Amino acid sequence: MTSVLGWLSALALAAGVVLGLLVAPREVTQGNVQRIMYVHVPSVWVAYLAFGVVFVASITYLWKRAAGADRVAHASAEVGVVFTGVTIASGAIWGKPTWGTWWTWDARLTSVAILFVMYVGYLLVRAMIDDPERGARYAAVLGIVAALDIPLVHFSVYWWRTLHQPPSIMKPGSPTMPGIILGALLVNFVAFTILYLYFVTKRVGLLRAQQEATA
Amino acid sequence: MTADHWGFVAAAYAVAALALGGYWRRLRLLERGLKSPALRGPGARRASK
Repeated sequence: MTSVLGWLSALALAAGVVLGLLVAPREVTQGNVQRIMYVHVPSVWVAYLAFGVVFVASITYLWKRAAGADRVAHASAEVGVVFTGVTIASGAIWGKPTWGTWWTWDARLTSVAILFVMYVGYLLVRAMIDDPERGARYAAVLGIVAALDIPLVHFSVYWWRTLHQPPSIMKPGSPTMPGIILGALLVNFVAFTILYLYFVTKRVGLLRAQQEATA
Repeated sequence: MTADHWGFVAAAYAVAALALGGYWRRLRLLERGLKSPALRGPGARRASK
C-alpha cells in the first residue's frame, strides 16, 4: 500500500511539473514567474490538510487515548511542517520579483509564520518530554490550540489589508482562472495530496515500529 | 512586457524538491535504522530471538 502511494505520488508529481512548467501557458500579468503557484498553492493546501488531521487526531487521542491517533497526529504534524516550510520559501521566492521584497510582516505571511513556529513547537514538545504518554497529551492540547490559526491564515486576506492576493481557488464559488491553468493546478493538488498520504502512512508505520522496538 | 524571472521559478521548484526529497530521505534512513539489529531497541531484539 505504502509503495503504491510512493509510486503514484512520483508519477503525479512528474505530471504536475510537466504541466506547470511546460504545458500551462505563460500568465499575462506576471509572466512565467506565476508558475511558482503550482508549487506554492498545493503546498499550503497540504499544510492545511495536515494540521486539520492533527486537530482531529489530537481530539481523538484525548478522548479515546488511542495510540494510533497519537501516531497519526505526530506524523501529520511533521509532514505539515515540511509543507509549510515549502509554502513560506516558495512564497518568498515568488514575492521578490512580484512585490519587490522577500518578506513583509503582513497578515497572511505573519499568520503562516506563526503556524509554522507553533507546529515546530509541537514537535519540540514531543521530543523534549521523556514520558511518551505525557508528551502525547501535551502535544495533543497544542495540536488543538495551534489549529485555530488555520482559519486566521486563510481569512487574513479578507480581514486585513495585505499584500497577498485573495484565494483564487480555495474560496466559495467557481475558480476565476482559465481551464488549462486550473487543470495544471488541480493535478498538482492531487500530486501533493498523494505525497502527503505517502509520507504520513510511511511515518506512522515507522513510529509504530519504533514504539514496538523500544517497548 | 513582464520580465520572466525563470531563475526564481527554478529556485522555487529546487527548494520544494530539496525539502520534500530531504524528508523522503529522512524516512528512508529511519527505516534503514529500524531494520538494522544494532540500532533496534531491546524489545525488538528480544522479539527476534
